[in-house]
Amino acid sequence: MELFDLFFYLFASVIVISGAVTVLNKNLIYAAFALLILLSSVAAMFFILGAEFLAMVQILIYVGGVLILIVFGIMLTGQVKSVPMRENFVYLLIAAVFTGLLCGLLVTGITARPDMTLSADIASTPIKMLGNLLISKYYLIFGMLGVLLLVILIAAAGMARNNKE
Amino acid sequence: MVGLNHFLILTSILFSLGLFGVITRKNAITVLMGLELILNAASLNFVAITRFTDVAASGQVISLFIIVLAASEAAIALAIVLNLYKNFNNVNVDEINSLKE
Amino acid sequence: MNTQLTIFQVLIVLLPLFGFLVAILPPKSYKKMYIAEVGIMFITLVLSAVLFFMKIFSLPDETIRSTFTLFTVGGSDGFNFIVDLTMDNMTVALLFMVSLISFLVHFFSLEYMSHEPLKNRYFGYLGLFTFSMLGLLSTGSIIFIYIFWELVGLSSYLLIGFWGFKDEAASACSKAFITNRVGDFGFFLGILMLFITYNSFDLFFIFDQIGAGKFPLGSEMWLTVTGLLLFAGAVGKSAQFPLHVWLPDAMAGPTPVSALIHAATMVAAGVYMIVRLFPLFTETSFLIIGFIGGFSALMAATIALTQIDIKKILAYSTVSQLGLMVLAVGVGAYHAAIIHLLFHAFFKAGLFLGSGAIIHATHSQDINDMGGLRKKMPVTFYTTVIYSLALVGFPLTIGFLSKEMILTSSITLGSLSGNYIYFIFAVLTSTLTSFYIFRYVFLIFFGEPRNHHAYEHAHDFNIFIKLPLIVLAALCFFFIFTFNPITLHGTWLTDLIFRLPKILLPDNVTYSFLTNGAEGSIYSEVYAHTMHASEIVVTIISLLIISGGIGTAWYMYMKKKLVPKVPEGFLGKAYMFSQKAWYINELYDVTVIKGTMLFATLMTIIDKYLVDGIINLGAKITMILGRFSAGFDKYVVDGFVNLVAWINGLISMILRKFQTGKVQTYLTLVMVFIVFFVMYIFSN
Repeated sequence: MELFDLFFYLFASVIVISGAVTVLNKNLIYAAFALLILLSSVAAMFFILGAEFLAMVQILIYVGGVLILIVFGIMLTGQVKSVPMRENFVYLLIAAVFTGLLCGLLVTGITARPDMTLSADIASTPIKMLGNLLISKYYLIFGMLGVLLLVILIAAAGMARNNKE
Repeated sequence: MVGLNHFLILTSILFSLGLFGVITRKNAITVLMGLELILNAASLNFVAITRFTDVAASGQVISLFIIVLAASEAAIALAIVLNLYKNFNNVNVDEINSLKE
Repeated sequence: MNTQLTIFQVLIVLLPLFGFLVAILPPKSYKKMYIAEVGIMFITLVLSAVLFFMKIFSLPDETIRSTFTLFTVGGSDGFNFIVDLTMDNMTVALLFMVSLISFLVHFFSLEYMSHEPLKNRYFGYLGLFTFSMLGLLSTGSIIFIYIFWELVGLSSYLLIGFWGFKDEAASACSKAFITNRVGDFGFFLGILMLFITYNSFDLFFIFDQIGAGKFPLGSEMWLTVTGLLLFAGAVGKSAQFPLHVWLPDAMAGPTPVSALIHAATMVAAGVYMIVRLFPLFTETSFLIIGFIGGFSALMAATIALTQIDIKKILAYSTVSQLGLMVLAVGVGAYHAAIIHLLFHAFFKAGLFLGSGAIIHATHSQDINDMGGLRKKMPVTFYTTVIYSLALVGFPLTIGFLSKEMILTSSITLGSLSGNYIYFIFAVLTSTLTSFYIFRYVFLIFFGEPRNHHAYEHAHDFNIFIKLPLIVLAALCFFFIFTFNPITLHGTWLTDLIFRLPKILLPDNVTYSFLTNGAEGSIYSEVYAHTMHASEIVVTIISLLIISGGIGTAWYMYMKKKLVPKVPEGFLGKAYMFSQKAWYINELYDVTVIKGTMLFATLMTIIDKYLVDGIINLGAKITMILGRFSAGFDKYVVDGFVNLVAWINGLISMILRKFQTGKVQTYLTLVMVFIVFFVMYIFSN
């Protein structure tokens, strides 16, 4: 077993377990903590896939920004412990069965096609190439995302403001 | 030998977990966390496919966009959650059903 | 050069339309809008003056035409509908006259209508009228003449009915419109006759065809009929007997409108039209045209003798003067008709504006409320005297020049053909004119005030009233137009307008009636010689009749200080006959209106018993059928519909359960169906 495989199985198991904890745990702080682990593991996955830049971005934005936002949200809404699932058992059952079915279908579809493997060593993608793509082929999307972020900034500020003024 | 399919299966599981969270949890913030799981699954998919096929770095660029969008989505969603809390005094999505009729 | 003139012409025609649009759109400031309206008319006036002088001095002999095909009916070799812009000396002279009077009337109305609440509507209608009138003068296509003809009729209708809340005005505008319809019906039939014969609306083409000997239905008799049908339009518009009844009633409109439309411009459109169509008329047509013109002139003059409403006096005077113009056309002197039209516009518009000032001052139209106003309203007084002198044809005024042309032409015709009836008509009319117009002047401005209240309040108004009066009075002196006070022959203006015939008439059309068959054309030596010889006679006769008329008026109203009232005996009957306008309105009441009413009553009876009976029978049958149908509908059709509704309700009750309002449930449902869908795809 190569080092790549080892890392894959390690982080894959971490991702699945922490994901399950995130979704199922009744304590929101624990869930947030599990999400932290999950996001870091995804970052590690990016790393072993040769996307170092993305890994850094993932940690910076997700772990440093989004997660903090979520924790803030948890604290501000004041519901931390024993946040239950929905009570309806039939509903839960249907949800579980069909989510499982969907997952199974996806896996069936994936395994039905031939696998692709990579014999060569891991070669990381140069950041320069990413930068070139951003300002050439994806220039329009890049610019529009800038506008989107501005809109989001204003909208979030406007929505979170106290309306009673 | 780990190939592309391993990654795809992993992301399928991750996606299904996120979906399950989204449709079963009461708390809006947990729903949001489920959404992050789904987005991460997609993101990971793009990066893996970029790595195993020869589509240059396009997948990574799109991953980058996904991360940016996820950040904005989180900001907006949390603003909404805070407004919900202000108006309904809780964030349980199944109690907020003014959409009904 | 031609293009330049055409652009000027288009601008002149379209500017008043622009004024109309400005007036009907809600403005920001009403005051500014009125100034803009007057400004637009001023620009039109300046442009038309420039156009007049450019055309007269640089291209006096040309007829400038520009045409383009608007659409084609019936394939490539079908009929072309052509928009036509034509300009000759007559057109530019009349364009200038119309825009001048229109501008002065706009200016006058600023003060006269200053207390009206709906002024913007008023100015809009004035703009619409001016546009239509200028358009009417600017085209050489008979269908466009007809279109603008109807447009001026419409704006006349709107303006007469401007004070439509008064019964009098409301019925007057309907009367004007309906009476004009009678004439216009003939006009339209005439146009159709021309069209089926020549397959064209182009007048110049039609004239050429007539010159080449092509007549409607192949005979000259039908050309006469066509000409008379077209003349019927002029009879309606120019208020000739027997369709003159609308014009006196049209005085219910605002006085500046009367000055513009019912004295100076629109009513002259009929005269303009028959001059424009001159080559279409045959000798028989001319006989009838001349007779109708002369008769209208004389009849209206006798009616004007006894009227007590000052605007009615002027209205009948207008009918009378228009009759003289029509008579001039009838004796072949269309240049005299156009010159008289032009000059008459100045002094008749002036008289009307003067009467407007008097009405504005005394708030009355009754001549018995006037008297002695000379000291109170000096500007109105002096200008009115000048207009009156011009109207009677006093030497040194323009009226003398134009009236002398008409008299000379009619006596020339008389001495050449032995038919003196037109000359007699013209002389009698002129005599009566000089009497009634000085009766008007003496009764209003001289003597003792008969209504002291009105007298106290009377005064001259501000510049808006005075300026138009003074400008028009200045135009009434001969030296504006000529340096020869005796005759218009050989002066620059008339010389240029005399060029009209060469442009109007095809060379090979002959009018033998003008010279009793001796020579072919009105340019003949004999005609010119006879005309020259009779000039001095005419001058003496006209001086005699003017002094006679004025003298009688002076004797009756100044010396004996008579006031208008019905005299005794046979004279009283004659007086009433004149004052009631020959009882023509009453005659129409008895014949046309009663006849229509009788016919309507007959139709009502037929409608009530015959038509309604059939309909009621049909209704009963329908009702019986309806009962059957209703039963079927109630139990069979409704039952089925209710069943469908009940099933739908059931299904909806089930589906309603899914509508929980919870987003997560919806999402779950979506997921479930996606799973089923993917499974379906996999199974295939």
